[in-house]
Amino acid sequence: MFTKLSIRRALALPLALMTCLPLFAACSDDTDTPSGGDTTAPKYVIGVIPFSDTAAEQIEWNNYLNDYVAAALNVEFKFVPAPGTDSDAAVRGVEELKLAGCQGILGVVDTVAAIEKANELGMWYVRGGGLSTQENYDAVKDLPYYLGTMGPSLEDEYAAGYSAAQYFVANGSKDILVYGALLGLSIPSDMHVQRFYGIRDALIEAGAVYTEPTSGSVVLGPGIGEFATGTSGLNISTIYGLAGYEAIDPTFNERFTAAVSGKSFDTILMSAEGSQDVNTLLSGVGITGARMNEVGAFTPTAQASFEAGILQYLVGKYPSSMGPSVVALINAIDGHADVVKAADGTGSRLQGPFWNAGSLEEFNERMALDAVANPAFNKEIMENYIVRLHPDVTRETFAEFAALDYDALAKLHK
Amino acid sequence: MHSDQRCAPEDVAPTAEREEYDASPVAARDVIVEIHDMVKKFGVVTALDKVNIQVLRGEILGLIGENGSGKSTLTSIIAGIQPPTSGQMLFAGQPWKPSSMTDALNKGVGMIVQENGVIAGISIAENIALGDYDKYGKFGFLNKAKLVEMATAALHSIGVDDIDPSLPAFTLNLQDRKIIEIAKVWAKQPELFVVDETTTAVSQRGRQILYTLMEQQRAAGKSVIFISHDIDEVMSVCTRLTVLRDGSVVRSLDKADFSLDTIKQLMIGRELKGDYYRSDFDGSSSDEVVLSARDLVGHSLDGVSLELHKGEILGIGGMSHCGMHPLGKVLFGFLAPTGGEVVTADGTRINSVTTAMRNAIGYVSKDRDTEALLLRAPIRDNIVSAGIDKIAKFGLIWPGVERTYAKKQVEDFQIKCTSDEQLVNQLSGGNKQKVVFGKWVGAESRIMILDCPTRGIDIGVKQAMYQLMYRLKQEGVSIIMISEELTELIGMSDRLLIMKDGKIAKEFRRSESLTEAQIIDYMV
Amino acid sequence: MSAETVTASKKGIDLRVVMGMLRRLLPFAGLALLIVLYLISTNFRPTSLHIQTFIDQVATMAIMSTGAVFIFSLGSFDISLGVGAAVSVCLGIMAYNAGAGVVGMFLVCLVVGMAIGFVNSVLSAVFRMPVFVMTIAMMSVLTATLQILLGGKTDLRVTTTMVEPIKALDNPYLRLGFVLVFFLICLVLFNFTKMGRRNKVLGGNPKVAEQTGISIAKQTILTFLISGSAVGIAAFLLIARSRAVTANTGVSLGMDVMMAIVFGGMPLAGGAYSKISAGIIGSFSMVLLSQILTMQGITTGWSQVYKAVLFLAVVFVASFSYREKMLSRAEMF
Repeated sequence: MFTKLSIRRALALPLALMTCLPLFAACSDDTDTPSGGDTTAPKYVIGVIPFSDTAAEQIEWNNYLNDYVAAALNVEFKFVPAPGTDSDAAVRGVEELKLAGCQGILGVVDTVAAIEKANELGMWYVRGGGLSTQENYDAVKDLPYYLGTMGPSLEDEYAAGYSAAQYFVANGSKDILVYGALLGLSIPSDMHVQRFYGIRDALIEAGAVYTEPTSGSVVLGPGIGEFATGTSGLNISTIYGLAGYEAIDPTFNERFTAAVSGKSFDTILMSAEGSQDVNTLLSGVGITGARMNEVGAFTPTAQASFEAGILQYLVGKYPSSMGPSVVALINAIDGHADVVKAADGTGSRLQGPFWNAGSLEEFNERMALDAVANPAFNKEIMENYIVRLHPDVTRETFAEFAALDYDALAKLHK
Repeated sequence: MHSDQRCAPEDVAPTAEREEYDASPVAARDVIVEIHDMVKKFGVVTALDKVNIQVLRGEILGLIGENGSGKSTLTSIIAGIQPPTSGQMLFAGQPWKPSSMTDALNKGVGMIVQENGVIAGISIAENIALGDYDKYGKFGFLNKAKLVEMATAALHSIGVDDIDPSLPAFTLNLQDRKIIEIAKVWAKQPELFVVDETTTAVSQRGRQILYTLMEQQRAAGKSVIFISHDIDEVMSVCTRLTVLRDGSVVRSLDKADFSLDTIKQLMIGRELKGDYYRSDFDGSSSDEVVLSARDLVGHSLDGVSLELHKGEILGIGGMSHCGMHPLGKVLFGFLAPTGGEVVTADGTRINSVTTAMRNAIGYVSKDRDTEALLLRAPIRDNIVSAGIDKIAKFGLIWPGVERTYAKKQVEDFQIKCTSDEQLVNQLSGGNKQKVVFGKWVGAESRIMILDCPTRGIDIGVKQAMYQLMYRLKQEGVSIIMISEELTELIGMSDRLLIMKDGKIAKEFRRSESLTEAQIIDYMV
Repeated sequence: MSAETVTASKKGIDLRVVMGMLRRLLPFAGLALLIVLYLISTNFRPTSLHIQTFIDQVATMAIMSTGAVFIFSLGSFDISLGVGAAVSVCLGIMAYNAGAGVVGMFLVCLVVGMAIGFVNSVLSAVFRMPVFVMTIAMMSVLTATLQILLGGKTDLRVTTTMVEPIKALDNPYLRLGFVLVFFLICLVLFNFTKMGRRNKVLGGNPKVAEQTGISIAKQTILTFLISGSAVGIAAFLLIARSRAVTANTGVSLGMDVMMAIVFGGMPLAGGAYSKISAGIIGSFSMVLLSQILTMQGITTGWSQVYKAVLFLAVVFVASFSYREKMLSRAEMF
């Protein structure tokens, strides 16, 4: 009577219900205290709005927060799916984090509507991992619960592009492809623009002549123009777009092939990450051996790219660079938002510099400082800037803490 | 879904039940196929329920039964299309477990199937050699010359010399494509030749070829299983017949015992009472013309004009490609003719389905399942679909009104169902057709265009449909009945138009003396 | 065949009946389960904030998915719903900033939503293309339109000095009112009008629809106007919620709507078993699920995996087309 088929189908409902079981399991975990944590310290609940669900950079940050900070500073992190540039999804995320009991939000997005919603719901908000556009910052800076932004400044971004271009020109590059990332796309980003400007200015200093794009060729946002050799002795081509993001920039591959075919390059100057994707595309048109930089992050992906000889110069964030943002939220939750905010009570714009690596050795050296078990921003360093534990922390010392660079952190670890 | 349920040795029937075969007067060497206790289930539906059958050498065994009686399932299992759920088959005394149709064909059982098995895009020769390509080429390349040579010989062996096998199969019309299948099977010289002709998708020519081959097969001491809906045909062609009902063998009859009444009774399990068709031969109808077509051209029509009178059953017959099927759709406004027009009594031009429906015209498509029914919807939804405008008040439809509307049709047509919420695809062919009729009768259609209204319907229900048509006629409803079955056209029509090549070739009036033979000349 | 069906049911449990009931109960069972999980997650003490947030989140989704049920009932779907809402939001904010007032803004949202639906359906009729194919193209067009409207900025917001009247709209009772009124209208349209009945016929079999005098083009256009009006109302509520539009506002909402309708028990093929309640039931489930996953602290990525697995499970169970498969085989004999 019951054939195999009918049995299989009858099993489907219980199976569907079983998929819910991990939720129950997760429930019972809730009350556990993170082992090895400071059990006397209050428990913090902080929400995270990631910029991506899949990017290596974000995953490294998540791992740092979950695997290290959670136990070290007694924080429970709650995550929502990355809203991207969907303001409604960002607002929903904020609401859900509120329901989940979060006292503050570490947002790697800077959607004004989301920050306003967090403020409305009485949740502290730090924009971590980078800066907001001036316009977005102005829109939210006066909100009481807005702590500010923490991460590389626009100057840092500019310097990232500039130093990479300078490095390669000094090291004998002749045929260069400048990859402008979001320039020319409809989702311009200040950081990409600044990095490109850095590249541009370094090349101009080397003698190249830059022509701004004609208005007709740029539909939206700042575009990318053309370089003439001038006195530089450099052959420079340009390309914009996002490699490996078909969903956002579906025509990139065709544009890329058109821009590079028939040419040869020894250097690719990137104002974003994705050296492996670009390298794959180049191999596809028979261009191999070009040197590349990335402005991105210290991740296993970048490491592999270094090891493969593709990546030669990296300017980037690193997993524990989120540390100061968490400390800022902890201080605010403890009632000490004043050390984080600007003197006039508006949201601050605190700098968190990039790390640089010009070789695999340098890369590995920096990664070693940011080990999973003992990251660059570790428990000891961070606790020094929690007001509850160290009442002598001031606005100035906190800003210094946020701005600790590689050398300073390395010294502290010694 | 059933590949894991091949028959296993332990399914063999116990000796006690097999004794009846041992007791049979037929010597074992004369038996080509034996089937013991075959069961075939589709989910909870039992298609074959412990069927026992023997096919003898040198006979043409007819299988007959209503739709769903299991005859096609039975032959498809013998021919390797699907395995049985349980039971045992013996072929020439050996256990018979064909893995596929090709396997069965190579081992001596060839079947001409109901469905069109010809691939249109490849050549006729390639179709004939299908499943046998290894013989005609190397390294994946086919030796075309060798293929064509073989195919020409295969076609010649069935008496066809005017088809060029190197042409693509789509150059043949659907009926002639059947000839390719026949050639393919015949080329293998099967011991058992199975002909499933239930959909009658074969031309007059193909039919003649089949009759000849079946007779040759019998004369050579080999065997044939022949399946048809047409009792007359089975009676004239077969040497023995077996009647199936509800998945079981009812009885086998030798030629001497063939009788139309007995067979019908065995098929439906009761006596047919009353008239099968209408009993009167009064072909007169009202002078009032309710629908007329003038010089219709297009959709394979070539200047068709006709008039339909009030209360008239106007039969339209012909070969299936004579243009009568598109004519039905043109008359209903579903297809637009390139020339000519269809007008109602008051001069309204029927140029869309909406106009047709507004003028109380209904249309029953010959493709019931694909064009006339919402299969995965309740009976009620189907019946109401043509009456949405009728039951709506101020654009609103009240569930009570809707239920009453549907219920009336279900009761009037005696649709066998658990309730009007039952899904249509759970109904038998006849009951499905009743739903389609109910849909249009409910919409108060005064003109019904019926395209093959009894296709695939069991004779018991067929009779009911004929009586219904007659009742509608008496109520003044005008009916256009398009059909490929001459007997029902003769049996039901007041007037009969025979079409050929898109034209009306001949008109017959209702008469007791009208026979198929008189008509066929105008069709072919 | 009917005789055999009867025989089968006499033998024991008729699996088809059981499965049919399961399929019908599943959306409610799923919702009930989610409510239990939700209560567990809130320690059985949901606060007024919980309830208010639930209403806030469910309102836009419920309205959009209730409208989209009409499209699903045709056996089709519209992938451009989310970005359609975003364009409506954008033009609504522009109109408001230009001084159109709240009512003007509402009308702009509504008209833009309906206009997008109209264009979708008319173009698909003109080019004789499946309408969902048209909506895929429309999604690209609307995304580009929105980007041009944003003019290279990351967002467009209600002018700060004019924010107060919009803030006043950010009210759960108002949202609830919109949902109830819209749902009731759709309930009547779907179940008790010619329009709704024709939709089911068209969704069941387009050939039958044509042969019963139902104009596919007209019906499709009406359907997309209804779903477009839902998009417009949802856009209005979105403005009330966040007073801003960004490059992809509503895109995830649009995707959630499609999942919600399936969670709500809508057959993917449309037709007779289409249920207008699918939008609301499914939206309730989706919002609860999303909130539960966040409350449980499921890390980024995993919550999508959970949603996807649940979605597949629901589709799998809902596709208990036991009877259809069986009968399509059984039609052989």
